[in-house]
Amino acid sequence: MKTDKDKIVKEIRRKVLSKSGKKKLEAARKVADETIKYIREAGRVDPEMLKQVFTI
Amino acid sequence: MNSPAYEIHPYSIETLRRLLAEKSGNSVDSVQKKIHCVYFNNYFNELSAKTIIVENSYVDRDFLEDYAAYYVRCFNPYKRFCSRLHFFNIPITKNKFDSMLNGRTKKKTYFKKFTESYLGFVVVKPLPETIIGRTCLKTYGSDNGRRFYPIIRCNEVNLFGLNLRVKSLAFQEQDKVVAACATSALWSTFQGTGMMFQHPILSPVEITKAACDHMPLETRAIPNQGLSGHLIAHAIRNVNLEPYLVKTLDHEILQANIYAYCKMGIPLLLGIKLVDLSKKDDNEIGYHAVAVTGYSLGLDAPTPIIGGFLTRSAQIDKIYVHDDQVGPFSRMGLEPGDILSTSYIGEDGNIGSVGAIPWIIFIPLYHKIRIPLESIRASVVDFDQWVEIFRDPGLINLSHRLVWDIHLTTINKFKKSVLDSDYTGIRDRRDILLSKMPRFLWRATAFCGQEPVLDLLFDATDIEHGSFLTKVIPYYPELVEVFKIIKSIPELAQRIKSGPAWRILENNCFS
Repeated sequence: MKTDKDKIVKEIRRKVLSKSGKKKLEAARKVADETIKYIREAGRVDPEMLKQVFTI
Repeated sequence: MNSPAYEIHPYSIETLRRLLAEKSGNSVDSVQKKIHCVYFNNYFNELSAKTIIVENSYVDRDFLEDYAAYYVRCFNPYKRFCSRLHFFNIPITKNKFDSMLNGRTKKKTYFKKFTESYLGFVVVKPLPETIIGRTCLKTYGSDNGRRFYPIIRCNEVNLFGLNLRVKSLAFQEQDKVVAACATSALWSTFQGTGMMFQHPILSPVEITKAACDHMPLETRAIPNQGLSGHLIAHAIRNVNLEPYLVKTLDHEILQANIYAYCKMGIPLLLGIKLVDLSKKDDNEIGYHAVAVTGYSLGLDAPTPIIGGFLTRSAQIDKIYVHDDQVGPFSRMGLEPGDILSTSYIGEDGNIGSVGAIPWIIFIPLYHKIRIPLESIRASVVDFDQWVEIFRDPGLINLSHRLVWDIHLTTINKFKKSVLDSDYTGIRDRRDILLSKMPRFLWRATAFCGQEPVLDLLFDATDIEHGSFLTKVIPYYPELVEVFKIIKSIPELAQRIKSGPAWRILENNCFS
């Protein structure tokens, strides 16, 4: 599918790379970083957990 | 007096309780107290059981191993033969069954009806209290695509020469001697992984011995009081699989992992902490292990995680587990507060008053499955956030935020799904089918509503810090075109390169 590259670049500069757009972008990036941190760390097993005996 | 080779009874829960008691040598009162009886009552009602055929003097391989390792040396003369109860959803009379065995019933239609009515079997062990042996029962229906049992396989059953089949995953109760809960959960888990990864399927006593092989407990291994996390991991290694461990105190992590691995057919072992919710103080009962065998996608919409990332796995509202204290495919609901509902009876005497805190999952993996789910999710989350950055102001024309279906698969399953797909958006279908791919793949499919937008295929056998994206299949080419333009803007390209989404966007498809 052909897209009008120049028009899109212009739109990106206006909507994403403008002063207000950049603020939104920074906020979105922060959210992404927090989510990735959560995904990487929330499931990490503490070695102490392995000592637990399953008895029931 | 010798018992007959078989008996036929119309099904009722009273008859089932009586048979369980009679065949195991226990009293009906003691059998009636078991949660299994309550569970079987509901289960067989749902499956519309009509007839029980009892196969007396049945030799069960697993029990025989346990018998040889322990019971044979007891002074008390325990029996070595079990009984097997077969369940059917049609009425069967003794005359009709006799005529099938005598060869007088030649009608193929009756045989077809007989085999189709088969619901599975329960082996009854001749032991005090712990009597439920190998059990393979048909699962509930899918309920319009809500329930998923991806681990089940076809079990061939031979009843006096009559070939029967039941799609299930074997279950059995711990005997509290050679096996505690963790051993029973491992035994069920290995029934699934054994077929998938071609490893020997050990009996309960062999599993307990293997777990304690090089890591002796402080106390004796048999009679077994339970296995620690270390011992469970060791038992998994003993069948040449790699244990991958994930902490699951958070429902989102539990849902994501169950969906990602179970969908391919890998059962997981879930360690839980049981708590009596009917008590305010001192309500911890102890730690228990179950095998996760399925899930229900019962929520209409996924619950977003931080920042709004949406996954299909977040639609899971229940999981199905082989809980040796309850029964096969028993339901655990995901409740608020990161707790699971159970079928246990608390101190108030009510079923369900005991909750479970999911503690840890043990994922038994073939050694070549090296890239963990977290790495895939990190790349996809980052990519998804970039899509949102451009979708929100209308630069990408998608009506909804993407919902991601992330799961492990094999090259064969993936290619079959491409071949079977009637979705016209797949370009180069032939090329995809003919392309070389690794045996194990992570597949992340993005959906906008019901429509697939993009398929990302990651090599699950690669190196984690490498570039392990194997293939991108765009169903919505505009998304790819916009990202090609985004990448041509240096300040954005540089920004994307600093995050894990680069793993996706460096693919030729986006160049």
